[in-house]
Amino acid sequence: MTKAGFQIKTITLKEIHDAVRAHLLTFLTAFLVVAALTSLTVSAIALHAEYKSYTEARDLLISLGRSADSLVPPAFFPLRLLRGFIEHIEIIGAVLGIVLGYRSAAIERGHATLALILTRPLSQATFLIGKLVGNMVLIAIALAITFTIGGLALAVISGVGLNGADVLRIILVYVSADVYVTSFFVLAFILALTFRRLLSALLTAFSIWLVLVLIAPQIGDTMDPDNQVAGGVFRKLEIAKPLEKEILGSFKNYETIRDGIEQASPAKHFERFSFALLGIKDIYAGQPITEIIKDRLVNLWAMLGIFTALIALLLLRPLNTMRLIKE
Amino acid sequence: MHTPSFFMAARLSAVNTLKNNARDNTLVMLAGLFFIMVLISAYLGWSATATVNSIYAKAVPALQALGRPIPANPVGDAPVLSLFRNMVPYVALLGGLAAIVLGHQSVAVDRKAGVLPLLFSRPVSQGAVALGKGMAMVISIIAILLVSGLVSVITLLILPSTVLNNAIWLGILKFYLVSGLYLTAFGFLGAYFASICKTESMALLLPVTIWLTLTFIFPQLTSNIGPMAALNPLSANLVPPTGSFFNFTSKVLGPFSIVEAFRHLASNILEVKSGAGNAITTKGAILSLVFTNLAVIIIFVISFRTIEASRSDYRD
Amino acid sequence: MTAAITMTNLTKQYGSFTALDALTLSIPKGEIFGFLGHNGAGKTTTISILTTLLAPTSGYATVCGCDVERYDQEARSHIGYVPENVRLYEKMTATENLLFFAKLSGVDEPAQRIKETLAILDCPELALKKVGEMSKGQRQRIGLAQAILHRPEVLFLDEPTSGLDPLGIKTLRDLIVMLNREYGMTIFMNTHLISEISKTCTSIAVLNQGRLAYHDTIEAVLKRFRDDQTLEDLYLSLNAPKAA
Repeated sequence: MTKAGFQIKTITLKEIHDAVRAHLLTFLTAFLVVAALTSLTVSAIALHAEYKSYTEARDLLISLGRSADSLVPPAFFPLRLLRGFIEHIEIIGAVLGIVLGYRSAAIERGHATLALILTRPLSQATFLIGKLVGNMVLIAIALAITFTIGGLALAVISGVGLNGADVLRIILVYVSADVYVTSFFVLAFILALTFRRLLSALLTAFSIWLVLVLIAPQIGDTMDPDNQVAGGVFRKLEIAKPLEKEILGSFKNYETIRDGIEQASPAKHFERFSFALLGIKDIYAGQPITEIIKDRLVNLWAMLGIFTALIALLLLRPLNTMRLIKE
Repeated sequence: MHTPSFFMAARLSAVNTLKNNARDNTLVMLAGLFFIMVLISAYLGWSATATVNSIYAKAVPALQALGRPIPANPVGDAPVLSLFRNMVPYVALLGGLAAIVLGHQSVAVDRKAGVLPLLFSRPVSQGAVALGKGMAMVISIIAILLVSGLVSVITLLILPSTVLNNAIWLGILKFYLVSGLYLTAFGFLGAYFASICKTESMALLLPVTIWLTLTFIFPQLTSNIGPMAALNPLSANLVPPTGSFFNFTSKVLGPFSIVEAFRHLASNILEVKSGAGNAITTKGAILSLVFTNLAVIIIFVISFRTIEASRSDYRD
Repeated sequence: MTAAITMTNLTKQYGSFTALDALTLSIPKGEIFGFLGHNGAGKTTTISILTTLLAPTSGYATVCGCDVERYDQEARSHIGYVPENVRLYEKMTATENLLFFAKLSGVDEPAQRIKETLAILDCPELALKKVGEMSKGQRQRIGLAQAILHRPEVLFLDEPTSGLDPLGIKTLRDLIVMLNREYGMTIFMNTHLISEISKTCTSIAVLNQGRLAYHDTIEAVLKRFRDDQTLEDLYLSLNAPKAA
């Protein structure tokens, strides 16, 4: 192994060792698992209640001698129960990334060990790569635990076993979740190595999280006229799909702006990619994986692009060591 | 020389905390962010309604041409206050986080400065200092809400075709009062954890975790509202799913679900139209907010009074 | 002479660790009392209890006749305290810091008192300077200023010379002696600078692993142990680790 490789390995292992000993990682992973399981369970219960209502209505119609053909049974695709699970990964997973990124920098600054490390014969890039790799491993472990528990719970709750294709879909979503959460790690790490006060870095990271993960999608959602009326505006006006499309055609610019705001959110890219793969979005239900990936390439490229850009920013920016000495 | 009275000591503590907070750029940044969100909310409210009106205007001739009956405009008689419906999720999200930070800072400013040994070796009670911290935090929240309220008023005054009356001004006042009650609960929560935690990062993360739980997990448990759907102001008034599970969770978790309580009250004040009512009552929601405030104030004061001053510095 | 500070069987335990073990001591008014001991001997624990910041596990202590546990607020009205590496609000000026602490101590006409205090400590030029921009020695003076604004009867100093250069140490020593002589303050000083003891203190005690190892007036100490070299030997022998 080269000298740099050995140094990276040393820093990586220390990072993992420190995080395992600290309570933060365990706490956040547990919180993520609980949130995800809650979502799965509640979705299953709600679906069960919906199915129960359907059977009661169907039985009533039949007992009255009427046809039940007009009733539409609730569709059951097990992977769709993961909708809330994915949304929690979007929200809480990003917090996990931010906390790890902040902590990774704070622990060196707080103990003033940054100066001790960087006066050793190792490059700044070696130090940063070691930190990055260590935390990518931690994120991968935390998400692997969450997805494994979620997948097993899904199989049990739905009562339907997951086939090979289902497992592959979940794995692909897991990988994209890794990229997504790691992006937030890198963001918070950069901020914590930049701001003079660590608290300012943490609050800035949370503000960015708030805007990109919650506010931007909410604005995009709110600007969707269909979300401004309970039940949907077109359904309320009893407008069929063809007429709906025709009317929306004259709102192209508005829709472009709305979509642009949503596209600014990495959370939305992760959500769209995941929802498509898991068939949560109706038009992708039952579609082959390769077709879905082809269709959602823009989301994949957006996530990878953000990830790459942040890593480039991290590695190419010189550290101002004197500024980072304990506040 | 005279020993300062309890309230004099509290006042001194409050003034000093406010002075220190005012010099903190982070808090100014949060206040600025809040201000921008109010503006965005006002614009979104107007824009979304205008868009639905445009859709309706285009739909009417098309429906007439098809010989179909023309339904009423779903936002035709939308109340003026519903323009601010997006303030509900923004106060819940950004406001909650800002309040936690304000509460955190009111205590952390002294712990990080390392002055608690100097403060507590003065002839004043820790309870008075705690009261002062609480007062400073509440004043900061009021200041932020006053700025937001002013923006709301100006927005209403400059929006075209809005008929303003006393009921609307009263509605704005009620909305901000309820928002204040909601925010102070999270503020005192932030102050409580700032008092008991050994590290500053945990002091922030624990209340943020509680906030995440109340904002995204509780609505799912009580009303099957998904995390992202919880951001839609209309979701507050959807009919919750039926069944023994949701009946049970609503009963058990409802009193603690202050985010839902706030959203219910705020949505009603802003006259956001809904399909039907929901399981939370107005009285229950108010009681939930009031009792939560009382509970967090009590635990904060107790925790602050028992800080061991000689070991009060944060470890990170 | 009435005692400014008394400690009777003062004990502090943290779990199974005994930081202070039945400490009994009486310090008359007007003394400059030097409290010596190695790191971790229990000196800061002692000062923390006497300044009401920490509750003892057992035993009791009084400051100016007030029980520090039962009448803590009254006890605090008689004391001033300078912690080790004293910290203040960095973004505020010296005057702003002192104004705040003066008001909390109930000082009448705090602005005037601050002016006088800074003059006493020979640092009026620091009045409008932000604490964050001050040197260590300057911070120490402002730290001392906040402790004497209300002219306390008893002044507690925890390692006051920590981190100071020789000139700073001499200056501080002179200030301590002046406060004692001109303002009648009883000084309780934690230190392990043996060279300062003979020049400053009127009595000393040595703490060894939470227990009182030695206590006497400085005249008696100097009579019995004639020079500083021997004083150091005394200290080191008293602070030798106890046999298991």
